[in-house]
This record gives sequence, structure tokens and C-alpha cells, in this order.
Amino acid sequence: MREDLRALALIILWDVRKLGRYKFFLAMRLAWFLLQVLVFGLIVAHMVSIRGPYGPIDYYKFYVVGAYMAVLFSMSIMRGHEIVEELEDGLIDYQLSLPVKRRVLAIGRALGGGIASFTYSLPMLLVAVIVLGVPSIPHVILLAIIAFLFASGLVGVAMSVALWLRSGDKLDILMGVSDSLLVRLSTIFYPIVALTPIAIYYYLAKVNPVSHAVDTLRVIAVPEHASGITVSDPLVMASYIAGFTLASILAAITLLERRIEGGYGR
Amino acid sequence: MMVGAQALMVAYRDLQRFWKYKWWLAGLITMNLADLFIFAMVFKGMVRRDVVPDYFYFLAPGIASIAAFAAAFTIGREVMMELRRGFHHYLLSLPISRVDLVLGRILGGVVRGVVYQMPFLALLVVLTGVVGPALALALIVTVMVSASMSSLSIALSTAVKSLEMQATIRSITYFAIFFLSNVFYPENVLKTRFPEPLYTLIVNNPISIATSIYRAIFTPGILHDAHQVEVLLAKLTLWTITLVVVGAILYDRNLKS
Repeated sequence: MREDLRALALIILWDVRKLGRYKFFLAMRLAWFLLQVLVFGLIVAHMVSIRGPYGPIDYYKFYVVGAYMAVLFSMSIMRGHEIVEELEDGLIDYQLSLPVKRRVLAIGRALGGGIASFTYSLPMLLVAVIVLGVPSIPHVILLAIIAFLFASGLVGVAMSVALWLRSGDKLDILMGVSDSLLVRLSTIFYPIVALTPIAIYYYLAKVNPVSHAVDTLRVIAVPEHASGITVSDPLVMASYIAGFTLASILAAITLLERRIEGGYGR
Repeated sequence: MMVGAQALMVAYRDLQRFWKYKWWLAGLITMNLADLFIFAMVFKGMVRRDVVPDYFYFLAPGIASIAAFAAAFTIGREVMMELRRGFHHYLLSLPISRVDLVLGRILGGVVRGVVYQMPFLALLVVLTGVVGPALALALIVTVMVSASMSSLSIALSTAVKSLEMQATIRSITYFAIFFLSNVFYPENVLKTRFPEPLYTLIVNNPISIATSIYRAIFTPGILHDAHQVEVLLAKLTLWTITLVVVGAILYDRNLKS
């Protein structure tokens, strides 16, 4: 058990150490986020008028949380591409040859990827916290925990898909398509009440884990603006995220244990 | 071989290489369509009718502009990678004149923009029912906006030596043009949110101008932004000539060094 924990810590550290490679990528994401928050969000909030059950919704505050989630989502999903690159380079084969249980390896990669993705998103989270005026430090810590949990779940999904497809080209297409669809068919940009006129979008957004994660962040960051407009009850949403994260890591473990042999195929 | 034909061959090579980016293309097509059929459809119910009467039809021409812009802009990345890998030495060794090579690269971006945007123009025709000579004008606008964005992308990719810095500058420029245009918001709203000089810059960038012309062609009844298409065309022509000249000079300078 102790050896497993040590191995887990080493794997997480290995993923986290790669952080320094992506300075410019981070700069681009930060620029994108700042333009979203300081230009797009401010202007669109001026054009939009939407009411929740308890009155008008402050769209700007609603949007800032959504913009942060969009960044966290794409940074976490990007891990799938890294996994495929590692498959191509034989790095996964090398990791499988290490005296580490595959289960530990899968958990370590998901958590390490989650920490790395969350760390990349920290400058954006800081901007969001300042802009939104998050009420207290415990609220900020809770935001960080939920963001990290969800990022780990997304990394688990990205790993599972990468290991399942084992093809850079197929993964490229699937990730490109799902990145666009999962973000737009969620409550990142619009409250669930705005989706009610289009039934198919409404139900897809209702079951989309991204909606649950972003609305949980809203409940924590701006509780006074989130009441009555979330996809579900806060406790249900938190359980949904925990379940999603657990299921995606279990999927990654299963795939890593059963499907990894056979090499990489384009 | 005839001068000009060689430039076409260079452009053809760039078009062939365009299909290599499967992930990027799949993502871009999905993003453009999702922006229209999900984002705009939902926003239609959220945006105040006095600001934009129908956000779906308001955004549709903007998506066509963005499609040409994004596809034409990819040429800069190719140029950047070639300069980094020294591949331009091979290009220079080919029996092609320098002028043809430089023009061919810009033309490559134009072809990418036009080819990628065609389905979106067809979609606009289906959605609005506009046919006739106005479509020729739309095509001219597509060629001009693609040429200006292709040249801008090449200019940015040759402006600084560091690859990472180039990628960052290109991305920031892309995002700035994307968000600081009239694609997502009407000009009367922009006027109230920005100081006059910045507002003037935003509504006169090539993407905003192209979007305004597409709106005048396809969805003239949606908004009341009064524009004379002739004036917009003149502005876009000026942008195109300026950016093509700057892009060509900077690329040529980099090929020499």
C-alpha cells in the first residue's frame, strides 16, 4: 500500500512537472479568456435580457463563470492528445514496464493531468474570482476543489477515449467535434431556462456533466445570482460531478488494464 | 512556364496540405455550425428584440466571414513552420521565381479561405433564398477578405524570430480580430461600449467590413446599421492591397535572410 502511494505520488509529479513546457500555450489561453471576459461578456451582457424564476439574471456574472469552465474544459481535454503522442512515442509502453500497478498508473495519470489542467487554469480562476467578487476564502477553496475534481474527470475521459481509439487522427476528429458540441450544449453560455424552447438542447444540457460542473461553480461563486437557474439542486450537481469523475477514472483504469497492448495504430 | 501559373501551383500545393489538418477542420466546421445552430438559436431567445430582432439571421453572415478568416489564416502557421525547419531553402531551390513563390503562398491562403467558406455561403443562400448577381459580389468579398487575412497571417509569421512568440502573436491577433469585430454584436451597441477611436477601428477591420457586406446582401432587413456597400467595398479593397503588399514584402525579406 505504501509503495503504491509512493508510486502514485511519483506519477502525479511526473505529469505536473510538464507544466513549464506550455508557457506560450497558457499565454494564448489567458489572452482568449481576457477577451471573453472583458470584451465579449461585457458587450453581450448589454444585449441580453433573461429572467430566472426569481427575477432578471445578471448575465455578465453568469458568463464569467462559463468562460472559466470553457478554458478548464479545453485544457483538460487536451490531455487526450498528449496520451496519443505518448502512445506514438512509446512512452506509455515504457510506463507499463515500470514496477507500478496499472491501476495506480491510471489513477496517477488522471489525477496528475487534473492537477496540471487545474494549475494552468489558475490565472483565469484568479481573474474570475476578482471580477465576480467571490465572498470568502472558503468559497475560493471550494471552487478550486470542484474545478480540480471535474478536471480530473475530464482527463479520465480524454485518457479513456485516447486509449480506446489508439489513433491520433480519429482522436483529433472526435475531440474537435466534442469540444465544440459539449461546450455549446451545456449551460456554459446560457442558463438552462434559455434552453427550454428547444427541447433536444434542453435535455442534452440537462445530462451534460459540463452543465453540472459550471452550475456548481456558479452556486459557490455567485450564490445570489445562481438560485433557481441551475440544472439541478447543488447537492445533486456535486454528486453528479463526483460520480462522473469516479466513473471516468474507472473507465481509464479498465482500458489501461485491458486494452493497452497491441501498440499504436493510425 | 508562364509567370502566374507557377504561383497557382504553389497555391495548389497549399490547398492539398490544408486537408491534412483533420482535427482542426473537424473542430472548425463543428464550431462554426454549432455557433449558428446552437449558440445563435439559443441566443435568439435571449437577445433583446430592440437590439437585434433576429440573432440567428444576424449571426449567420458573420459566421461566413469567420469561416473564410480562420481558413485563410492557417497559411501563416505553415510559413512559420517552414521557416523554422529551413524548408524555405528547398522552396527557393525550385525553378520558380521569387515573385511567384511569394504570391503563390498568399494565393494559397485565399484558396483555403474560399474553398472552406463555400459551404457556408451555400448555407446562407439556403437560409435566405438570395440568388443572382449579389452572389458574385459575395464571392468577391470572400476573395478579398481571404487575401487580406492570408497576408496578415504571413506577415505576422515572419515578423519575429522566436517560434513561440510568433504563435502567441498570431493567436492573440486572431482572437482580437474575432472578438473585436461586428460579427457577434451590432455596431450601435459597439458604439456605446467603446471610445470613438476604438469603435472606428473595430467596425473598419476587414472582418467587420466583410460581415457588413454579407449582411447587406443576405440579411438586409435584420438590422438598421446604414452602410453604403460601395464604400465598404472600397475600404475592403484598400485593406486587401495594403495587407497583401505588407505580407509579400515581409515574407520576401524573410526568404532572403
